[in-house]
Amino acid sequence: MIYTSQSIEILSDHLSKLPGIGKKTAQRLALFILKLPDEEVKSLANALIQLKERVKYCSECYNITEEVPCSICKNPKRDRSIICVVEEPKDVMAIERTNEFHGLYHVLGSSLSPLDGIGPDDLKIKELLERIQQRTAQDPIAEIILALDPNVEGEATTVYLNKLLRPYEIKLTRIARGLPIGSDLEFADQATLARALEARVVL
Amino acid sequence: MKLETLSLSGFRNHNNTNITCSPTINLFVGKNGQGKTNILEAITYLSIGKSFFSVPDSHLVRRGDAGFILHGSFKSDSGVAYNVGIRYTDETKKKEIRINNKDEDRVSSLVGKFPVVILYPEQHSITNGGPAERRRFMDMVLSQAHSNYFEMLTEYRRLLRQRNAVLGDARNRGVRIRDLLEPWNKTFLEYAIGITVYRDSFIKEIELYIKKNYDNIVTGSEVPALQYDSSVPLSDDMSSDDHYEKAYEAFRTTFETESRYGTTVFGPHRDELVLLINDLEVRKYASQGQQKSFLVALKISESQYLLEKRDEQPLILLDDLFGELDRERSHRVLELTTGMGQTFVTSADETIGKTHYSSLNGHIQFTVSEGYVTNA
Ligand SMILES: [Zn+2]
Repeated sequence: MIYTSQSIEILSDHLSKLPGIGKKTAQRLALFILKLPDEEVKSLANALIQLKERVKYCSECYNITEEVPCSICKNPKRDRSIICVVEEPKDVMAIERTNEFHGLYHVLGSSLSPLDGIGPDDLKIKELLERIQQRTAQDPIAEIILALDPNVEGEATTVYLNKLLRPYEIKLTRIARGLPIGSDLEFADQATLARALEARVVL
Repeated sequence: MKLETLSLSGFRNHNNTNITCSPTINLFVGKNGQGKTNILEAITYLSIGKSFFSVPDSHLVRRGDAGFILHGSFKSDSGVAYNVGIRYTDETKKKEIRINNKDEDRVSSLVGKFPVVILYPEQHSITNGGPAERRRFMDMVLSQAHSNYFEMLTEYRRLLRQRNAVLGDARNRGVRIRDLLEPWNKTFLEYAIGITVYRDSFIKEIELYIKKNYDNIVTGSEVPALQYDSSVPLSDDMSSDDHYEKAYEAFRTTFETESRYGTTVFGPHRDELVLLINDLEVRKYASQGQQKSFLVALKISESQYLLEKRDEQPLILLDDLFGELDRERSHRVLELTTGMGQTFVTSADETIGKTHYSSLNGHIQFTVSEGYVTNA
């Protein structure tokens, strides 16, 4: 593609790096932005800059936050004795939406994925161990819940953490790999159903 | 299963092709390179979410088009209608699947619903090529017959790639590598055993069909047989803890080798399905004629196996049958497959309808020329 404006070309290149955006869509977006009023373009640019400047990682749980520590870690009403380990900030959001969990989180940043060059050292695992070691007898951790994605990477990460955390003699649990709420048993695929059966609990 | 209508737009050399199919036999005739095979390829795509050739989706897009759309209206043997649409957009490399006006985000929701059996010239490699071709054959049938198998295979391949990424990374050499592999091993072995269990019973079951079908094609005292050489040891109760331990032992003995080669050497991706006639390996010792007969017997058995497992008559796609088999053998194939299900045949021979199907009612002959399809 030949551009008569280098600025369009530069912006298109940037936009095409976003997930799900191809070259043509990027160009369309760039031309759309060009037609926006000046103030709107400025506030869009500011929003992008502020995002990078203000959003940080919590020093305790590594969730994204604008204040350190984050509002969950700081909240005196949360149960400090339970830590739920998740892969990404969006998992915290999902669990928070359920209103069922009142403990703290620990965000690993990803799951193990050698294919993507992600090994144990690239996850916030060392930080999790430090967090456990720093607790005193008056402020113990009673349970660690491993809530990783129900896929092969999440499974490997669970196995890895299980081995690492076992010596601490803290109760370790994992979320049941069951059916998504709202799905019908009848229409559930067999693999999911099998896993749900495997993870069954006594009533 | 019957395919009632089919449409292709922007697919291969088809700009906009709409076909109303015969419930029995559909013949597509035309010179080579006109787009006959592409029609079978489109049917396959609607059925399993990809081409039968190993090509990326972007190669299937017609030159100058932004993507392709395929649509098929199917009717199951019990009379249930399914409208299937697949749209592929080249810019985003995204594939959208809709079944009965509902979005399906996974190919697995498609595979097996509309079973197909395909015979195309390159498949001679099943009888005369390397082990990978026969694994591909097993995977294709089993994925359509059991949705659980397809899911397992997808996960297994992912686990394999993850393990191989650890093994192939030079920085992991030494003691550390076993620690990095350990979290993947249990699930890997579970899936490896699961796949082996399915393959083992598939081979036993389809062998019975093959013996019968081969006898129908070849008159004489030739006895075909199948033999499964698997990585995972076979036993009568492969779901037991004992068997898991035994399989783990076999897996463990390969740890040194896999570290040295930098790739996983244990598992169903290394299995071999050996085809035999009178106890001799087909690939090495059978004549070309015997190999072709074996392939035909295999394909007919595949259709019978799918019918048994899915309770649904698969579509039968025969690409360039007459170019591959001699006249007598191909006529025999058509005889055997007619009455087995809805059939789609391509041929460069425009007299095919008269010579082979004149006695049968209901066949439609289409002429394919430069991506255009016309009746008769
Ligand atoms: Zn926090």
